[in-house]
Amino acid sequence: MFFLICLIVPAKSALAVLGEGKKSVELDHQTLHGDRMSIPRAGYSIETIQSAGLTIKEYLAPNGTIFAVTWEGNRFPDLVTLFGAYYNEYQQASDIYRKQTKILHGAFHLTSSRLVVQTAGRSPHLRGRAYLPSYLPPGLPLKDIE
Amino acid sequence: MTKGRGVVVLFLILVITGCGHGGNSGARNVLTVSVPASSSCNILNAPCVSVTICSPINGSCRTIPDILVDTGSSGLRVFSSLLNLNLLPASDGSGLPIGECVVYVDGSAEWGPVRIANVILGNEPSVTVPIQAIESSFAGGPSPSCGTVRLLNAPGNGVTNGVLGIGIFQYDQSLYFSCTSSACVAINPNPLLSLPASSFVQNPVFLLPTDNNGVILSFPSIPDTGARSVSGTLTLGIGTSSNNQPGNGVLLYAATPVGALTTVYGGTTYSSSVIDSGTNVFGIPSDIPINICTGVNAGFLCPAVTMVLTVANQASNGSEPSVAINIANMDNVYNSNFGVYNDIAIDSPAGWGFFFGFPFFLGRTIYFGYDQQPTPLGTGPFYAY
Repeated sequence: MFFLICLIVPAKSALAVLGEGKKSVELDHQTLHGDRMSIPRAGYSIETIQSAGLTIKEYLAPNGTIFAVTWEGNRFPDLVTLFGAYYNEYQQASDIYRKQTKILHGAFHLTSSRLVVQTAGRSPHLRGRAYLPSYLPPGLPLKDIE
Repeated sequence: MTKGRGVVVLFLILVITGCGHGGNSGARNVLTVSVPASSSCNILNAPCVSVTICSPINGSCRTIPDILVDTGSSGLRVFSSLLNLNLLPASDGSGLPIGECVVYVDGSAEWGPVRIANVILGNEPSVTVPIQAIESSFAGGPSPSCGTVRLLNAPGNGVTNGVLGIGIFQYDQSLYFSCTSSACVAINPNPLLSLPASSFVQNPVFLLPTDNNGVILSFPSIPDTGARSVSGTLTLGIGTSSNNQPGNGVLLYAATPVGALTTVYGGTTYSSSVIDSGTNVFGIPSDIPINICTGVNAGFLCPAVTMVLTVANQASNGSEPSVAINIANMDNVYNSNFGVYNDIAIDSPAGWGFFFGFPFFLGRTIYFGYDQQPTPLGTGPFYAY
Protein backbone atom coordinates (compact mmCIF):
# COMPACT_ATOMS: atom_id res chain seq x y z
CA MET A 1 0.00 0.00 0.00
CA PHE A 2 2.76 2.39 0.98
CA PHE A 3 4.53 1.61 -2.27
CA LEU A 4 1.47 2.68 -4.23
CA ILE A 5 1.21 5.92 -2.32
CA CYS A 6 4.85 6.70 -3.10
CA LEU A 7 4.18 6.28 -6.79
CA ILE A 8 1.37 8.74 -7.02
CA VAL A 9 2.47 11.50 -4.69
CA PRO A 10 4.66 13.90 -6.65
CA ALA A 11 7.11 14.88 -3.95
CA LYS A 12 8.56 18.38 -3.99
CA SER A 13 11.84 18.69 -5.90
CA ALA A 14 11.00 15.44 -7.62
CA LEU A 15 11.01 16.68 -11.17
CA ALA A 16 13.64 17.74 -13.59
CA VAL A 17 13.81 21.46 -14.21
CA LEU A 18 13.41 23.33 -17.48
CA GLY A 19 16.59 25.06 -18.51
CA GLU A 20 18.70 22.97 -16.16
CA GLY A 21 20.83 19.89 -16.61
CA LYS A 22 20.46 16.16 -16.69
CA LYS A 23 21.23 15.75 -13.00
CA SER A 24 17.69 16.81 -12.21
CA VAL A 25 16.35 13.99 -14.42
CA GLU A 26 18.24 11.50 -12.29
CA LEU A 27 16.81 13.07 -9.15
CA ASP A 28 13.41 12.59 -10.68
CA HIS A 29 13.81 8.95 -11.24
CA GLN A 30 15.08 8.40 -7.70
CA THR A 31 12.28 10.32 -6.05
CA LEU A 32 9.39 9.12 -8.18
CA HIS A 33 10.42 5.45 -8.34
CA GLY A 34 8.84 5.56 -11.77
CA ASP A 35 9.98 3.53 -14.74
CA ARG A 36 12.57 5.47 -16.67
CA MET A 37 13.57 5.08 -20.27
CA SER A 38 16.03 7.02 -22.39
CA ILE A 39 15.46 7.41 -26.12
CA PRO A 40 18.29 8.90 -28.20
CA ARG A 41 17.25 11.09 -31.12
CA ALA A 42 19.26 13.00 -33.70
CA GLY A 43 20.54 16.07 -31.84
CA TYR A 44 18.72 15.46 -28.55
CA SER A 45 17.37 12.73 -26.28
CA ILE A 46 14.11 12.00 -24.48
CA GLU A 47 13.95 10.75 -20.91
CA THR A 48 10.59 9.19 -20.08
CA ILE A 49 9.44 8.81 -16.49
CA GLN A 50 6.29 6.81 -15.96
CA SER A 51 4.40 6.68 -12.68
CA ALA A 52 0.82 5.69 -11.88
CA GLY A 53 -1.50 7.66 -14.11
CA LEU A 54 1.13 10.08 -15.43
CA THR A 55 3.86 9.92 -18.07
CA ILE A 56 6.43 12.72 -18.22
CA LYS A 57 8.90 13.17 -21.09
CA GLU A 58 11.92 15.41 -20.68
CA TYR A 59 13.78 16.63 -23.77
CA LEU A 60 17.53 17.06 -23.36
CA ALA A 61 19.88 18.97 -25.65
CA PRO A 62 23.37 17.49 -26.24
CA ASN A 63 24.77 19.84 -23.56
CA GLY A 64 22.35 18.29 -21.08
CA THR A 65 19.96 21.23 -20.85
CA ILE A 66 16.26 20.36 -20.60
CA PHE A 67 14.53 22.43 -23.28
CA ALA A 68 11.05 20.92 -23.20
CA VAL A 69 8.76 18.76 -21.08
CA THR A 70 5.56 16.98 -22.05
CA TRP A 71 3.10 15.07 -19.90
CA GLU A 72 0.04 12.95 -20.32
CA GLY A 73 -2.25 11.47 -17.69
CA ASN A 74 -4.78 12.18 -14.98
CA ARG A 75 -3.10 15.24 -13.45
CA PHE A 76 -0.46 17.92 -13.88
CA PRO A 77 3.11 17.25 -12.78
CA ASP A 78 4.51 19.51 -10.06
CA LEU A 79 4.99 22.65 -12.14
CA VAL A 80 6.78 24.57 -9.38
CA THR A 81 9.70 22.19 -9.59
CA LEU A 82 9.33 21.34 -13.25
CA PHE A 83 9.50 24.97 -14.38
CA GLY A 84 12.14 25.99 -11.82
CA ALA A 85 13.33 29.52 -12.53
CA TYR A 86 10.55 29.91 -15.11
CA TYR A 87 7.71 29.19 -12.70
CA ASN A 88 7.35 32.81 -11.59
CA GLU A 89 6.83 34.12 -15.10
CA TYR A 90 4.40 31.27 -15.78
CA GLN A 91 2.51 32.23 -12.63
CA GLN A 92 2.46 35.91 -13.60
CA ALA A 93 1.22 35.10 -17.11
CA SER A 94 -1.47 32.85 -15.56
CA ASP A 95 -2.58 35.63 -13.22
CA ILE A 96 -2.90 38.11 -16.10
CA TYR A 97 -4.75 35.49 -18.15
CA ARG A 98 -7.27 34.80 -15.38
CA LYS A 99 -8.17 38.50 -15.15
CA GLN A 100 -9.13 38.79 -18.80
CA THR A 101 -12.49 37.83 -20.26
CA LYS A 102 -11.40 35.34 -22.91
CA ILE A 103 -11.08 32.32 -20.62
CA LEU A 104 -10.20 29.10 -22.42
CA HIS A 105 -11.80 25.77 -21.62
CA GLY A 106 -10.60 22.37 -22.76
CA ALA A 107 -7.56 23.63 -24.63
CA PHE A 108 -5.08 26.18 -23.42
CA HIS A 109 -2.10 28.15 -24.68
CA LEU A 110 -0.06 30.44 -22.45
CA THR A 111 3.04 32.31 -23.54
CA SER A 112 5.35 34.19 -21.21
CA SER A 113 8.54 35.95 -22.26
CA ARG A 114 10.65 32.78 -22.35
CA LEU A 115 8.22 29.88 -21.96
CA VAL A 116 5.33 28.39 -23.97
CA VAL A 117 2.82 26.15 -22.18
CA GLN A 118 0.06 24.25 -24.01
CA THR A 119 -2.45 21.91 -22.42
CA ALA A 120 -5.62 20.08 -23.49
CA GLY A 121 -8.35 17.82 -22.15
CA ARG A 122 -9.19 17.40 -18.48
CA SER A 123 -8.39 14.60 -16.10
CA PRO A 124 -8.16 11.67 -16.64
CA HIS A 125 -6.99 12.61 -20.15
CA LEU A 126 -4.84 15.69 -19.68
CA ARG A 127 -1.97 16.53 -22.03
CA GLY A 128 0.63 19.20 -21.64
CA ARG A 129 3.70 20.59 -23.35
CA ALA A 130 6.07 23.27 -22.07
CA TYR A 131 9.17 24.45 -23.91
CA LEU A 132 11.75 27.18 -24.00
CA PRO A 133 11.80 28.50 -27.59
CA SER A 134 15.29 29.96 -27.25
CA TYR A 135 16.70 26.62 -26.08
CA LEU A 136 15.29 24.48 -28.90
CA PRO A 137 17.98 22.66 -30.87
CA PRO A 138 18.34 24.40 -34.26
CA GLY A 139 16.03 22.93 -36.88
CA LEU A 140 14.04 20.76 -34.47
CA PRO A 141 10.39 20.86 -35.55
CA LEU A 142 7.96 21.49 -32.70
CA LYS A 143 5.91 18.50 -33.78
CA ASP A 144 8.74 16.27 -32.54
CA ILE A 145 8.04 17.48 -29.00
CA GLU A 146 4.86 15.80 -27.85
CA MET B 1 -70.49 24.23 -30.35
CA THR B 2 -68.40 26.59 -32.47
CA LYS B 3 -67.76 28.78 -29.45
CA GLY B 4 -66.63 25.76 -27.42
CA ARG B 5 -64.20 24.69 -30.14
CA GLY B 6 -62.78 28.23 -30.20
CA VAL B 7 -62.05 28.04 -26.49
CA VAL B 8 -60.28 24.72 -26.99
CA VAL B 9 -58.18 26.15 -29.85
CA LEU B 10 -57.27 29.20 -27.74
CA PHE B 11 -56.34 26.88 -24.87
CA LEU B 12 -54.11 24.82 -27.19
CA ILE B 13 -52.41 27.95 -28.52
CA LEU B 14 -51.68 29.05 -24.97
CA VAL B 15 -50.29 25.62 -24.10
CA ILE B 16 -48.17 25.45 -27.25
CA THR B 17 -46.74 28.95 -26.93
CA GLY B 18 -46.09 28.24 -23.26
CA CYS B 19 -43.79 25.41 -24.31
CA GLY B 20 -40.16 26.26 -24.91
CA HIS B 21 -40.17 29.47 -22.95
CA GLY B 22 -39.01 28.03 -19.69
CA GLY B 23 -35.55 26.71 -18.92
CA ASN B 24 -36.55 23.46 -20.57
CA SER B 25 -38.91 22.81 -23.43
CA GLY B 26 -42.09 20.86 -22.94
CA ALA B 27 -40.67 17.62 -24.31
CA ARG B 28 -39.54 15.02 -21.81
CA ASN B 29 -36.03 14.78 -23.19
CA VAL B 30 -35.09 18.28 -24.37
CA LEU B 31 -33.11 20.87 -22.40
CA THR B 32 -32.61 24.43 -23.59
CA VAL B 33 -28.92 25.33 -23.87
CA SER B 34 -27.87 28.98 -23.60
CA VAL B 35 -24.56 30.15 -25.04
CA PRO B 36 -23.30 31.89 -23.08
CA ALA B 37 -25.76 32.21 -20.24
CA SER B 38 -25.68 35.12 -17.84
CA SER B 39 -24.03 35.16 -14.46
CA SER B 40 -21.41 32.45 -13.91
CA CYS B 41 -21.73 30.98 -17.42
CA ASN B 42 -20.72 34.28 -18.97
CA ILE B 43 -17.76 32.73 -20.82
CA LEU B 44 -17.03 32.79 -24.57
CA ASN B 45 -18.69 29.87 -26.37
CA ALA B 46 -19.80 28.20 -23.13
CA PRO B 47 -23.05 26.18 -23.50
CA CYS B 48 -24.99 25.98 -20.23
CA VAL B 49 -28.17 24.39 -18.90
CA SER B 50 -30.14 24.23 -15.68
CA VAL B 51 -30.25 20.97 -13.73
CA THR B 52 -32.47 20.06 -10.80
CA ILE B 53 -30.81 18.20 -7.95
CA CYS B 54 -32.74 16.67 -5.07
CA SER B 55 -31.93 15.09 -1.75
CA PRO B 56 -32.61 11.34 -1.69
CA ILE B 57 -33.06 11.75 2.07
CA ASN B 58 -35.76 14.39 2.40
CA GLY B 59 -36.78 15.12 -1.19
CA SER B 60 -35.90 18.81 -1.13
CA CYS B 61 -34.67 20.10 -4.50
CA ARG B 62 -32.69 22.92 -6.05
CA THR B 63 -32.56 23.98 -9.66
CA ILE B 64 -29.02 25.13 -10.46
CA PRO B 65 -28.54 27.28 -13.58
CA ASP B 66 -25.28 27.97 -15.46
CA ILE B 67 -24.02 24.39 -15.62
CA LEU B 68 -21.59 23.76 -18.49
CA VAL B 69 -22.69 21.12 -21.01
CA ASP B 70 -19.53 19.10 -21.49
CA THR B 71 -19.31 16.21 -23.96
CA GLY B 72 -15.64 15.81 -23.00
CA SER B 73 -16.27 14.50 -19.48
CA SER B 74 -18.63 12.22 -17.59
CA GLY B 75 -20.74 13.09 -14.58
CA LEU B 76 -22.31 16.04 -12.83
CA ARG B 77 -20.29 18.28 -10.54
CA VAL B 78 -21.71 21.33 -8.75
CA PHE B 79 -20.36 23.72 -6.13
CA SER B 80 -21.42 22.44 -2.73
CA SER B 81 -22.27 25.97 -1.58
CA LEU B 82 -25.02 26.15 -4.25
CA LEU B 83 -26.42 22.70 -3.45
CA ASN B 84 -27.00 23.10 0.26
CA LEU B 85 -28.82 19.76 0.17
CA ASN B 86 -28.71 16.71 2.38
CA LEU B 87 -27.05 14.16 0.08
CA LEU B 88 -25.73 10.67 0.78
CA PRO B 89 -21.97 10.03 0.84
CA ALA B 90 -20.55 7.53 -1.65
CA SER B 91 -18.41 4.86 0.00
CA ASP B 92 -15.09 3.36 -1.07
CA GLY B 93 -16.30 -0.15 -0.18
CA SER B 94 -14.74 -0.09 3.30
CA GLY B 95 -17.08 2.60 4.57
CA LEU B 96 -14.87 5.64 4.01
CA PRO B 97 -16.21 8.60 2.02
CA ILE B 98 -14.70 9.30 -1.40
CA GLY B 99 -13.17 12.53 -2.64
CA GLU B 100 -12.54 13.27 -6.30
CA CYS B 101 -10.17 15.65 -8.05
CA VAL B 102 -10.71 16.81 -11.61
CA VAL B 103 -7.90 18.86 -13.13
CA TYR B 104 -8.45 21.36 -15.96
CA VAL B 105 -6.16 22.78 -18.63
CA ASP B 106 -5.20 25.95 -16.76
CA GLY B 107 -4.01 23.89 -13.79
CA SER B 108 -7.13 24.58 -11.74
CA ALA B 109 -8.99 21.68 -10.16
CA GLU B 110 -12.38 20.85 -8.73
CA TRP B 111 -12.07 18.89 -5.50
CA GLY B 112 -14.80 17.55 -3.26
CA PRO B 113 -16.74 14.55 -2.06
CA VAL B 114 -18.72 12.12 -4.19
CA ARG B 115 -22.35 12.30 -3.10
CA ILE B 116 -25.43 10.34 -4.12
CA ALA B 117 -28.13 12.68 -5.44
CA ASN B 118 -31.38 12.50 -7.33
CA VAL B 119 -30.86 14.36 -10.59
CA ILE B 120 -33.56 15.60 -12.95
CA LEU B 121 -32.62 16.43 -16.55
CA GLY B 122 -35.35 18.27 -18.48
CA ASN B 123 -38.65 16.56 -17.78
CA GLU B 124 -37.11 13.10 -17.45
CA PRO B 125 -37.73 10.94 -14.41
CA SER B 126 -35.27 11.56 -11.57
CA VAL B 127 -32.19 9.29 -11.52
CA THR B 128 -30.17 8.44 -8.44
CA VAL B 129 -26.52 9.01 -9.32
CA PRO B 130 -23.15 9.78 -7.71
CA ILE B 131 -22.14 13.40 -8.39
CA GLN B 132 -19.23 15.54 -7.21
CA ALA B 133 -19.96 18.28 -4.68
CA ILE B 134 -17.18 20.82 -5.36
CA GLU B 135 -15.81 21.82 -1.99
CA SER B 136 -12.18 22.93 -1.82
CA SER B 137 -11.92 22.41 1.94
CA PHE B 138 -13.31 18.84 1.95
CA ALA B 139 -11.23 16.53 4.20
CA GLY B 140 -8.33 18.96 4.24
CA GLY B 141 -7.94 18.88 0.46
CA PRO B 142 -6.36 16.39 -1.94
CA SER B 143 -2.91 17.94 -1.97
CA PRO B 144 -0.43 17.02 -3.24
CA SER B 145 -1.75 14.09 -5.28
CA CYS B 146 -3.69 16.26 -7.74
CA GLY B 147 -0.43 17.81 -8.88
CA THR B 148 0.25 21.53 -8.65
CA VAL B 149 -3.23 22.95 -8.80
CA ARG B 150 -5.36 25.88 -7.82
CA LEU B 151 -8.44 24.46 -6.14
CA LEU B 152 -11.60 26.19 -7.31
CA ASN B 153 -13.72 27.34 -4.40
CA ALA B 154 -16.50 29.39 -5.98
CA PRO B 155 -18.18 29.99 -9.33
CA GLY B 156 -17.52 33.18 -11.31
CA ASN B 157 -14.43 34.54 -13.11
CA GLY B 158 -14.59 31.90 -15.81
CA VAL B 159 -15.86 29.12 -13.55
CA THR B 160 -19.44 27.90 -14.06
CA ASN B 161 -21.77 26.74 -11.27
CA GLY B 162 -21.01 23.20 -12.30
CA VAL B 163 -20.30 20.84 -15.17
CA LEU B 164 -22.72 18.34 -16.71
CA GLY B 165 -20.46 15.69 -18.23
CA ILE B 166 -22.54 13.96 -20.89
CA GLY B 167 -19.65 12.42 -22.81
CA ILE B 168 -19.74 9.08 -24.58
CA PHE B 169 -18.38 7.07 -21.62
CA GLN B 170 -20.30 6.34 -18.44
CA TYR B 171 -17.74 6.62 -15.67
CA ASP B 172 -15.42 9.46 -14.77
CA GLN B 173 -12.00 7.96 -14.12
CA SER B 174 -10.25 10.99 -12.70
CA LEU B 175 -8.45 10.90 -9.36
CA TYR B 176 -10.37 9.28 -6.50
CA PHE B 177 -9.41 9.31 -2.84
CA SER B 178 -10.52 7.51 0.34
CA CYS B 179 -10.96 10.17 2.98
CA THR B 180 -11.26 10.59 6.69
CA SER B 181 -12.41 13.97 8.02
CA SER B 182 -8.89 15.38 7.81
CA ALA B 183 -6.86 13.37 5.27
CA CYS B 184 -7.22 11.52 1.99
CA VAL B 185 -5.34 8.65 0.38
CA ALA B 186 -5.38 8.25 -3.38
CA ILE B 187 -7.18 5.24 -4.87
CA ASN B 188 -4.91 4.20 -7.70
CA PRO B 189 -3.73 3.12 -10.16
CA ASN B 190 -7.04 1.96 -11.59
CA PRO B 191 -10.04 3.13 -9.62
CA LEU B 192 -12.34 0.99 -11.78
CA LEU B 193 -10.78 -2.09 -10.16
CA SER B 194 -10.84 -0.75 -6.62
CA LEU B 195 -14.14 1.12 -6.29
CA PRO B 196 -17.71 -0.13 -6.60
CA ALA B 197 -19.27 1.17 -9.83
CA SER B 198 -22.06 2.67 -7.76
CA SER B 199 -19.51 5.06 -6.19
CA PHE B 200 -18.21 6.54 -9.44
CA VAL B 201 -19.16 9.99 -10.59
CA GLN B 202 -20.99 9.08 -13.76
CA ASN B 203 -22.94 10.42 -16.67
CA PRO B 204 -26.57 10.54 -15.45
CA VAL B 205 -27.95 10.09 -18.98
CA PHE B 206 -26.76 6.45 -18.96
CA LEU B 207 -29.16 5.85 -16.02
CA LEU B 208 -32.33 7.22 -17.63
CA PRO B 209 -35.08 4.64 -18.17
CA THR B 210 -35.38 5.13 -21.96
CA ASP B 211 -33.38 8.05 -23.41
CA ASN B 212 -30.10 6.54 -22.27
CA ASN B 213 -28.14 5.61 -25.40
CA GLY B 214 -26.74 9.01 -26.33
CA VAL B 215 -27.41 12.72 -26.67
CA ILE B 216 -27.86 15.20 -29.50
CA LEU B 217 -26.64 18.80 -29.43
CA SER B 218 -28.12 21.19 -31.93
CA PHE B 219 -27.35 24.88 -32.44
CA PRO B 220 -28.26 27.47 -35.07
CA SER B 221 -25.71 29.13 -37.33
CA ILE B 222 -24.43 32.55 -36.40
CA PRO B 223 -22.68 35.25 -38.49
CA ASP B 224 -18.91 34.82 -38.97
CA THR B 225 -18.53 38.11 -37.11
CA GLY B 226 -19.96 36.54 -33.94
CA ALA B 227 -23.17 36.93 -31.98
CA ARG B 228 -24.22 38.19 -28.60
CA SER B 229 -25.62 34.78 -27.64
CA VAL B 230 -27.44 31.76 -29.08
CA SER B 231 -29.84 29.19 -27.79
CA GLY B 232 -29.78 25.52 -28.76
CA THR B 233 -30.99 22.18 -27.54
CA LEU B 234 -29.65 19.17 -25.72
CA THR B 235 -31.83 16.20 -26.62
CA LEU B 236 -31.48 13.02 -24.58
CA GLY B 237 -31.53 9.66 -26.39
CA ILE B 238 -30.98 8.77 -30.04
CA GLY B 239 -33.94 7.20 -31.84
CA THR B 240 -35.74 6.57 -28.56
CA SER B 241 -38.56 9.04 -29.17
CA SER B 242 -40.27 10.84 -32.05
CA ASN B 243 -38.08 13.93 -31.47
CA ASN B 244 -34.65 12.30 -31.59
CA GLN B 245 -34.69 10.22 -34.78
CA PRO B 246 -31.44 10.71 -36.75
CA GLY B 247 -31.86 12.77 -39.89
CA ASN B 248 -31.01 11.54 -43.37
CA GLY B 249 -27.36 11.65 -44.32
CA VAL B 250 -26.03 11.57 -40.76
CA LEU B 251 -22.69 9.72 -40.76
CA LEU B 252 -21.12 7.85 -37.88
CA TYR B 253 -17.53 8.48 -36.76
CA ALA B 254 -16.44 5.73 -34.36
CA ALA B 255 -14.52 6.91 -31.28
CA THR B 256 -11.53 5.17 -29.73
CA PRO B 257 -11.55 4.16 -26.03
CA VAL B 258 -10.29 7.67 -25.20
CA GLY B 259 -12.88 9.33 -27.42
CA ALA B 260 -10.63 10.15 -30.39
CA LEU B 261 -11.46 10.25 -34.07
CA THR B 262 -9.21 10.65 -37.12
CA THR B 263 -8.95 13.81 -39.20
CA VAL B 264 -7.21 14.24 -42.54
CA TYR B 265 -5.94 17.63 -43.66
CA GLY B 266 -3.48 18.49 -46.41
CA GLY B 267 -2.37 14.89 -46.79
CA THR B 268 -1.60 14.50 -43.08
CA THR B 269 -3.57 12.14 -40.85
CA TYR B 270 -4.31 13.26 -37.30
CA SER B 271 -5.54 10.29 -35.27
CA SER B 272 -6.18 12.07 -31.99
CA SER B 273 -8.97 14.55 -32.75
CA VAL B 274 -11.98 15.16 -30.51
CA ILE B 275 -15.43 16.75 -30.80
CA ASP B 276 -16.01 18.50 -27.50
CA SER B 277 -18.64 21.01 -26.39
CA GLY B 278 -16.53 21.83 -23.32
CA THR B 279 -13.66 23.18 -25.42
CA ASN B 280 -14.60 26.71 -26.42
CA VAL B 281 -12.31 27.11 -29.45
CA PHE B 282 -11.00 25.11 -32.36
CA GLY B 283 -7.60 23.57 -31.67
CA ILE B 284 -5.50 23.58 -34.82
CA PRO B 285 -2.40 21.35 -35.10
CA SER B 286 0.66 23.58 -35.03
CA ASP B 287 2.20 22.02 -38.14
CA ILE B 288 -0.43 23.95 -40.10
CA PRO B 289 1.21 27.37 -40.28
CA ILE B 290 -1.10 30.12 -39.01
CA ASN B 291 -0.03 33.32 -37.26
CA ILE B 292 -0.49 33.32 -33.50
CA CYS B 293 -1.77 36.54 -31.93
CA THR B 294 0.48 38.58 -29.71
CA GLY B 295 -0.66 41.07 -27.10
CA VAL B 296 -4.02 40.76 -25.40
CA ASN B 297 -5.08 37.75 -27.48
CA ALA B 298 -1.80 35.86 -27.19
CA GLY B 299 -2.41 32.18 -27.73
CA PHE B 300 -5.35 32.63 -30.11
CA LEU B 301 -4.80 32.41 -33.85
CA CYS B 302 -4.52 35.59 -35.88
CA PRO B 303 -4.30 34.84 -39.62
CA ALA B 304 -4.09 38.02 -41.74
CA VAL B 305 -7.51 37.22 -43.19
CA THR B 306 -10.00 34.50 -42.21
CA MET B 307 -8.66 31.10 -43.29
CA VAL B 308 -10.92 28.33 -44.49
CA LEU B 309 -9.57 24.87 -43.65
CA THR B 310 -11.19 22.01 -45.50
CA VAL B 311 -10.73 19.03 -43.22
CA ALA B 312 -12.14 15.50 -43.40
CA ASN B 313 -12.97 13.21 -40.52
CA GLN B 314 -12.83 9.48 -41.28
CA ALA B 315 -16.33 8.05 -41.11
CA SER B 316 -16.96 4.44 -40.14
CA ASN B 317 -18.31 3.65 -43.61
CA GLY B 318 -14.87 4.42 -45.07
CA SER B 319 -15.75 7.80 -46.52
CA GLU B 320 -13.98 11.03 -45.63
CA PRO B 321 -16.56 13.75 -46.05
CA SER B 322 -14.96 17.17 -45.86
CA VAL B 323 -16.10 20.06 -43.74
CA ALA B 324 -14.93 23.65 -43.96
CA ILE B 325 -13.94 25.37 -40.74
CA ASN B 326 -13.17 29.07 -40.56
CA ILE B 327 -10.31 30.48 -38.54
CA ALA B 328 -10.73 34.20 -37.92
CA ASN B 329 -8.19 36.72 -36.72
CA MET B 330 -9.03 36.98 -33.00
CA ASP B 331 -7.79 40.59 -32.81
CA ASN B 332 -10.23 41.54 -35.57
CA VAL B 333 -13.27 39.41 -34.76
CA TYR B 334 -13.39 39.84 -30.99
CA ASN B 335 -16.07 42.21 -29.79
CA SER B 336 -16.57 42.58 -26.06
CA ASN B 337 -20.36 42.62 -26.55
CA PHE B 338 -20.34 39.19 -28.20
CA GLY B 339 -20.23 35.83 -26.48
CA VAL B 340 -20.38 33.34 -29.37
CA TYR B 341 -18.05 32.82 -32.32
CA ASN B 342 -17.91 30.08 -34.96
CA ASP B 343 -14.34 30.78 -36.01
CA ILE B 344 -11.98 31.30 -33.06
CA ALA B 345 -9.03 28.99 -32.53
CA ILE B 346 -5.77 28.34 -30.75
CA ASP B 347 -2.89 26.27 -31.99
CA SER B 348 -2.03 23.00 -30.32
CA PRO B 349 0.69 20.37 -30.68
CA ALA B 350 0.33 18.52 -33.99
CA GLY B 351 0.14 15.07 -32.39
CA TRP B 352 -2.91 16.12 -30.40
CA GLY B 353 -4.98 16.41 -33.57
CA PHE B 354 -7.84 18.82 -34.20
CA PHE B 355 -10.13 19.92 -31.39
CA PHE B 356 -13.59 20.43 -32.79
CA GLY B 357 -14.66 22.62 -29.92
CA PHE B 358 -17.85 24.63 -29.55
CA PRO B 359 -17.40 26.67 -32.79
CA PHE B 360 -17.93 23.37 -34.65
CA PHE B 361 -21.33 22.89 -32.97
CA LEU B 362 -22.80 26.08 -34.44
CA GLY B 363 -25.08 25.36 -37.40
CA ARG B 364 -24.85 21.61 -36.74
CA THR B 365 -26.69 18.77 -35.09
CA ILE B 366 -24.15 16.41 -33.54
CA TYR B 367 -24.95 12.98 -32.11
CA PHE B 368 -22.95 11.42 -29.28
CA GLY B 369 -23.48 7.65 -29.22
CA TYR B 370 -22.84 6.14 -25.83
CA ASP B 371 -20.34 3.39 -25.11
CA GLN B 372 -21.83 -0.06 -25.81
CA GLN B 373 -25.33 1.35 -26.30
CA PRO B 374 -27.21 0.49 -29.49
CA THR B 375 -28.81 3.30 -31.50
CA PRO B 376 -30.35 3.48 -34.99
CA LEU B 377 -26.99 4.91 -36.17
CA GLY B 378 -24.93 2.07 -34.67
CA THR B 379 -23.46 1.14 -31.31
CA GLY B 380 -21.32 3.61 -29.35
CA PRO B 381 -18.89 5.04 -28.64
CA PHE B 382 -19.30 7.32 -31.63
CA TYR B 383 -19.80 10.84 -32.89
CA ALA B 384 -22.23 11.45 -35.76
CA TYR B 385 -23.24 14.47 -37.82
